[in-house]
Amino acid sequence: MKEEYPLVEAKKLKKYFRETSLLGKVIKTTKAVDDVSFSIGRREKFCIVGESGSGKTTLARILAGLLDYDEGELFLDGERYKDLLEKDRKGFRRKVQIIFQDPYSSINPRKSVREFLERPLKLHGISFSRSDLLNILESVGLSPAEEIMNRMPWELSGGQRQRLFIARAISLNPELLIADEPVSMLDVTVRAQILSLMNRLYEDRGMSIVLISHDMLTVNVFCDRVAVMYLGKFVEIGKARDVYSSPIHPYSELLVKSTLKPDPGIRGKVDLPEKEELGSIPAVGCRFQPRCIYSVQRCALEEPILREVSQGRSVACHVKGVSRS
Amino acid sequence: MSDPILRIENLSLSYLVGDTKFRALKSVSMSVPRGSVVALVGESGSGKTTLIRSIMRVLPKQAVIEEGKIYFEGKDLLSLNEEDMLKIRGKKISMVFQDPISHLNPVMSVKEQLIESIELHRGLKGKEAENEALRLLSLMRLKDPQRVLNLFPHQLSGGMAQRVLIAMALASNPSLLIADEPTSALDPTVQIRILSLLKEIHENENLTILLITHDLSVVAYIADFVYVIYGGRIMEYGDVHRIFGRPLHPYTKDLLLSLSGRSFSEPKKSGTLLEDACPFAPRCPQAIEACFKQFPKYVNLNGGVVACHSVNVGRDDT
Repeated sequence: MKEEYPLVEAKKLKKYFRETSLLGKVIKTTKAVDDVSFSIGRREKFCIVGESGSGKTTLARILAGLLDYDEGELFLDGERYKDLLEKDRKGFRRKVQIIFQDPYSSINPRKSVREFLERPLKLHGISFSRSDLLNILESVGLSPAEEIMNRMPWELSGGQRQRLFIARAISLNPELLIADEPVSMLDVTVRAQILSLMNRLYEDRGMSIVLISHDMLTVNVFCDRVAVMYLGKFVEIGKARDVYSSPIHPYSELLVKSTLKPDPGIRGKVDLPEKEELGSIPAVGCRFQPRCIYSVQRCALEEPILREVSQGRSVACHVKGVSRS
Repeated sequence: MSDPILRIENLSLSYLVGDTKFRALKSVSMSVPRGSVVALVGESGSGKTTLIRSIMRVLPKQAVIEEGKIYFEGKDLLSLNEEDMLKIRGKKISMVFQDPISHLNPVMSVKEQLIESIELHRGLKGKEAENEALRLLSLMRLKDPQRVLNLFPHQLSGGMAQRVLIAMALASNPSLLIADEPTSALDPTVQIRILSLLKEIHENENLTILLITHDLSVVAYIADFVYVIYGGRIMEYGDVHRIFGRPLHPYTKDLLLSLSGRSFSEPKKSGTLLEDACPFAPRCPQAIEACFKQFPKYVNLNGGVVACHSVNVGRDDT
């Protein structure tokens, strides 16, 4: 480990998807990740939160090395992703693992649990014994491991499948585990179990975790730091606790206020800080401006950039959280 | 609870696959008072969907109703013939589903689908039907209903599609709306708007709603009365404030705890249970021997009704 570098560092990362006509003319550009910079420390639980279409899954796939970025730079342990993937893709895979949202469609239905677990170990030439496999299964709460090992995927529930994915991911001892909405397709009690499992593995193994989520409550419970993403941009970064308790960016505020509170005593009329008529994404200015109730003239003309407003807290807004300087 | 619009009595149902019987519901009784919002809370496999299907009489043919009655406005739904059932299904009882886009016809415009429903159930024609469609869409707080009317399902966002689906459900002037996970496929900012819309319709139109969900925070937002179902059995029921303030059943407590990202129950284990056992017993940290043998009786306790051995014998020490 090269301690002088953060585990992951992204500088002005961009990924655009272009729809082209038959003749190759670009007819539509989707800016899925647009000029995003951040770093993730060692032993950090970092969350990226946003709604569908915010670009959070694209970013997760880039971080996992599954998708190339167009511009900017991305470093793992101080080395460029592009170099790492070119030179030693396998080595990269041992360091970075990903878990997907849908444990039903991301598993090969014709391979048993045992084959599913063995595959990465064999590919990476790691020697293992039967009891190693059993230990891995036990460590993610899949028991009786002996019996589960010979099962086929359809014999597992959603929660068990997600545990199996986690088992496979951690069997390589990764430094970074990326979890793309790992619990959103699961039942609530199972969600809690999976999150506490991830938390326990984090405590035991000291890896960094990137959790992608749309749910502020999950973020607040699980993460150290959070980045709020809106249409390809980070609009706020800060400690999860702080952002949840006192969001600064109007979009963060909207997300927090939309989170249902599990208390029938306080259900009132919703008073969301949002304009309901949604226009199209503006070509210039702030992307959130059509939904923003605080917007001023400047928001339609000039795109705000992410600026530090206090120690470890950055916000991209012309109106809210304007720094003292 | 006086004048329930829907009353289910002692419903037991199994699915017969070959010679094997899979129990889906066991002695389920519940009651939905007119003008209330009742929530049925449970996770996948708990029997929620089977229960709605029994009410709507759209069970697959492997399903066998072993005993029980379902009364809707005094009529026993299970003994109605198909012709009479048609007057209730989709008309007196409407439904809203989890995934709105897939419940709309992709090759018909919103206008055609909405007007079809209005013509069928209300007997309105032409301009009158169109005006009613517009009125329903503006009731859904859709901006520019005229424009939405001419859109096709693929042009709608998830939230818009759900609003259109609710409008279609209301087109028949139903007396009961069954909402099956109406917001769990939506973004949180959209979810809260759809819920507040449902609440508004419930209050303004005095519409009775049976809400099916696994999410207690949705329940807290909108429901008056709660039934908690697990493994085909009702575990606990009561007033929403009591359920959240003083939950009795370990499963209810676990559901509440999981909202803060924690859980004390064991992961689901495979293996067979005695038919009479409490279905939650293998996951329950408070399970005693009796739980694996006999399903507990419902008891009144602290203003709630619960079926749990460990609560009965006062072992409730959490």
